[in-house]
Amino acid sequence: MSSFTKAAQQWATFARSWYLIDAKMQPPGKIATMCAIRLQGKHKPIYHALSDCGDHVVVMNTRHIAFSGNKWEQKVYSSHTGYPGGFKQMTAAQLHQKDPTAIIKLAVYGMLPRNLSRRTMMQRLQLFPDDVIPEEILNNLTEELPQPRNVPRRLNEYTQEEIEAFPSLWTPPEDFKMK
Amino acid sequence: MTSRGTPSRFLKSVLQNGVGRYVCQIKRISLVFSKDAQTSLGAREFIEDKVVDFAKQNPGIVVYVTPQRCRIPKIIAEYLNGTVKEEPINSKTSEEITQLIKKLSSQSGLEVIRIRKPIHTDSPSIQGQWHPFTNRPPSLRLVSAPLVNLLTVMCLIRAGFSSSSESHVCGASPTRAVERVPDLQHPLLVVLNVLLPHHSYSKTTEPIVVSSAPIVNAHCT
Repeated sequence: MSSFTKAAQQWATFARSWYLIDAKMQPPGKIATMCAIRLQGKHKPIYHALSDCGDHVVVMNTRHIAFSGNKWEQKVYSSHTGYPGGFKQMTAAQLHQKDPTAIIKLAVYGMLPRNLSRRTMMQRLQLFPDDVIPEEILNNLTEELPQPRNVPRRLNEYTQEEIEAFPSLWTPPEDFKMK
Repeated sequence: MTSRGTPSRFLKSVLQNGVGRYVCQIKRISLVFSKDAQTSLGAREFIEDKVVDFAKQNPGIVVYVTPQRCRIPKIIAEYLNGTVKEEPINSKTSEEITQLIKKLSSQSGLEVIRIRKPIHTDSPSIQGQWHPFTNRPPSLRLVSAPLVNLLTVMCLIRAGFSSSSESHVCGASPTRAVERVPDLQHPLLVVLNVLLPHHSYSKTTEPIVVSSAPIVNAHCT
């Protein structure tokens, strides 16, 4: 690499990459932290706040994110239209119904630094509710990031042999009544 | 403004002053003041007490004292390289004016801007300057088809960058055979094309045809 011209070396070091994240069955907060780190450029050793070194992040399957706990009913997103009596509150479930990308968008927006670069970084974030991604964006992708949460397998995803092979402590007798 | 937006210069002396004999770089000091205004009070006191001693101590400097009707008294210092520096001495005390005149008389006429250091290196980076693919291991998981050709391109690039093939880059060939030729207009690949002419990553000048595993393995081993 040292034999390259200064311009080529500079262009290589500051090149902007495109990352893909699959948000299926993932907690939106963890997805948002991964996005925010890469949008700012903090994963690079050449990071500086003023050098505009952030990368592009594409998030797919935002419709299938998974909040833990009762957040779908308990988490409240508030906004005000500016007019009197215009204070609106929505639960996460209602907001997700209205716009499947809004939860991740708001989460990432809140995690970025509160300065003028935030809007530029948000423009570099692409959100897709399903795994349908336009071809231009697919052509740009360089790396898929590993998912933050290990999705456990459902009971119906186990084969009967695996269920039977699973060690059990005791088998209840046939007339046993479980409480 | 940042230091990149403002002018800067390297440290130098005017005509190697001091190598042989030292020549005082200031040629003329003009003191413009008013004989009545309140703002020139300090200037008038300085002229009464200290200007003659200053002129005697610095025989190389010509001192002009011009009483004029002016709102703000000034010191105008002219240097041998043509620089003219005007300093207002508005409502300054006599001591402050002496200090200012001492400072001006010891300056050379070069601009007072950021001084740069004459650093040069032929090897700016020992381990190689970072680029986005430096520590990025090629992922072997099954990703969607359009990504596969880019990942194999990355394998080839890694093999090209690490010229001594110590790194075991591609442990397994991609499981799917992709017949698409990578789009060489894509910005990242344009970058790599700009960079890679110095390292020949393929023996021929044809574009990379990622159609079969053996090509990948040949470059990776």
